[in-house]
Amino acid sequence: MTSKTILFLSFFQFFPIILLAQVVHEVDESTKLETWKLIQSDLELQLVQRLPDQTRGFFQGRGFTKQQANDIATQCVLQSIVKNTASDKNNSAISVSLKEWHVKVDGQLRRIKLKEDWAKQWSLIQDDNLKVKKSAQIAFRWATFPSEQIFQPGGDYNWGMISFGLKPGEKFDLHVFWKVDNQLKNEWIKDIECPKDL
Amino acid sequence: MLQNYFRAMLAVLILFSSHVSFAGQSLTTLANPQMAPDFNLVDMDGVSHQLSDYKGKTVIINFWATWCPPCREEMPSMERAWNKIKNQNIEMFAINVGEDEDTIFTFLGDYPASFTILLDLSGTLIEQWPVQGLPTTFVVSPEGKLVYRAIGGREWDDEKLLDQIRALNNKL
Repeated sequence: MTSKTILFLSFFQFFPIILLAQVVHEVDESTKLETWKLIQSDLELQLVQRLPDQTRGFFQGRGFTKQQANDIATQCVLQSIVKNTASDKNNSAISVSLKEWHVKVDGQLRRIKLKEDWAKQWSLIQDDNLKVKKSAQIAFRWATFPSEQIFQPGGDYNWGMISFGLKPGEKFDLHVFWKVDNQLKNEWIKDIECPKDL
Repeated sequence: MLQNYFRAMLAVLILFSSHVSFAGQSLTTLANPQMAPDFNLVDMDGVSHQLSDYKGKTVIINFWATWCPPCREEMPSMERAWNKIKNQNIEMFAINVGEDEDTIFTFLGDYPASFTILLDLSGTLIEQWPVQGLPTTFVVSPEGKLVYRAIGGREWDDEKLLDQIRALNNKL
């Protein structure tokens, strides 16, 4: 190995984010859950599969009925983590709006199911026995990813579930959008799989 | 030569990792600071706390929930920070969103907190604050204005970060 090669490799070792702005797909060895991580300049976006049973359990434990929790859990809920990785305060804020995001299934583009869509769905329920409890709606509101959020440099990040409105086991491509300095940027994350309902 | 290279790289990595834990984190300074929305919430002992009663003190206000992973992650560092600043004219409130006392009590068995936990059981207060996700933390100046914000967790016992908060008292 030449000293030039060593220097080149050292650079990759310390600055992989700068050079490898790509989607990384990983499978957790123990849980077998899949993760897709997009690193693009100062944006880091991670999507992690959640088993429908995990999601059912989470929401049933927070006031949803079995049927209501099942309705959420079977609409392809993934855990998402979005981070502005810039440490320099002079770097730009990153604005993420899920309203711009689309899924592509069988060549068709569709919007994702936002928390506002869920709230509207629940507000239309007339039967008192089927209504979603207020406490459950509060848990849902804060456990799901905001439809719009701005992340400043210096450590801003957020976690939250996103429901993609697809069936367990369904595969899709996700077109994600974000803004830096009012410039709209986008990237495709291909072949995401909704976790199967095991 | 290659062996020496890897040894050197290992040494650099160890050095780097020992200094990286707080690297790059900061609080966002809010432009045109607005008055913090007042509140009157009860703590775990049923005692009421009104924000406006704390005028003249710097107040850290953290919105959180027990199920939120980054909230859990930052809680120990909040406790360490609180032990450093509690006698420095600074107050710290962690406002739990939507959970009952039993749930919080169980959580505090694993994550001890000696700062004040407040309850926003109905989720009404958080809607009045500019919060989009949990955890979100604000620093309120002694004049009662929202001056700093952190979205997502931080290592709160970082001295640089605490100095930024302590400095607000110097402006009195």
